[in-house]
Amino acid sequence: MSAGGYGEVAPDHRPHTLTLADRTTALGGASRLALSLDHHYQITRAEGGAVYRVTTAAYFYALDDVADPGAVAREILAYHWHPDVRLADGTRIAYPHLHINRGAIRLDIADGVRIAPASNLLRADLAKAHLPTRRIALEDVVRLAIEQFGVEHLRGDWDAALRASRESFRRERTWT
Amino acid sequence: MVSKKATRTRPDELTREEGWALLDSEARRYLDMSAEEFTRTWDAGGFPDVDTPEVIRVAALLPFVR
Repeated sequence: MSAGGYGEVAPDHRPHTLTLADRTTALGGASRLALSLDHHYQITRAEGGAVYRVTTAAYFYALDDVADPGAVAREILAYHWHPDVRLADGTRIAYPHLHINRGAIRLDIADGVRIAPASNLLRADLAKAHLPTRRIALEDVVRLAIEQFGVEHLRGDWDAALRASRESFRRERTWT
Repeated sequence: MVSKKATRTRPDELTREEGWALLDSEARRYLDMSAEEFTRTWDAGGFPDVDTPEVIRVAALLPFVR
């Protein structure tokens, strides 16, 4: 779903946003993961130019553990870049970063020590950490899910399709 | 490619009202508060920890209503 349509906006205008209809989408495979994505973007055009450009304003990509279908999904990890979000102390995290969250803890371990799945067993500093990354593309997250978390792909040419899309992104991006 | 559901190539475009409804639904789901309460608290800097999964997933929807 998107907001604001596909129209050109001034660079300082609030961005359009793209998200999944269900916000999180279950992924196929034994690892019981779900993908969450919110992508903020702006469509701009150089003054007097005819070429439009789609520029990322922020991204929020996450993989959730949905092993327990009756429970609230637990976020395993999230790749974020949101340079305009001001934290409670007034600072901003301007660099792309990775969050590790409570979904990284195995549910059977949480059960074994009788701790609710919603509890966070991570070190407090790690749970709050913004681990620096390079700029992450959605294609990177999809590839990660398939290659390292065992998510089933639904098309035989997934690898070539991801490579082509990632290469297009690499050519057009203005920062890394 | 990754969804078990049928894929579509063109996204649905939400109206401002539909955006408010989505924000309200997600604010209630993640934070047990209304969209109005969320935007008021967000604008006032009232969340002690902004970059939690619960808060940031709702905040990511703010462009739908602004």
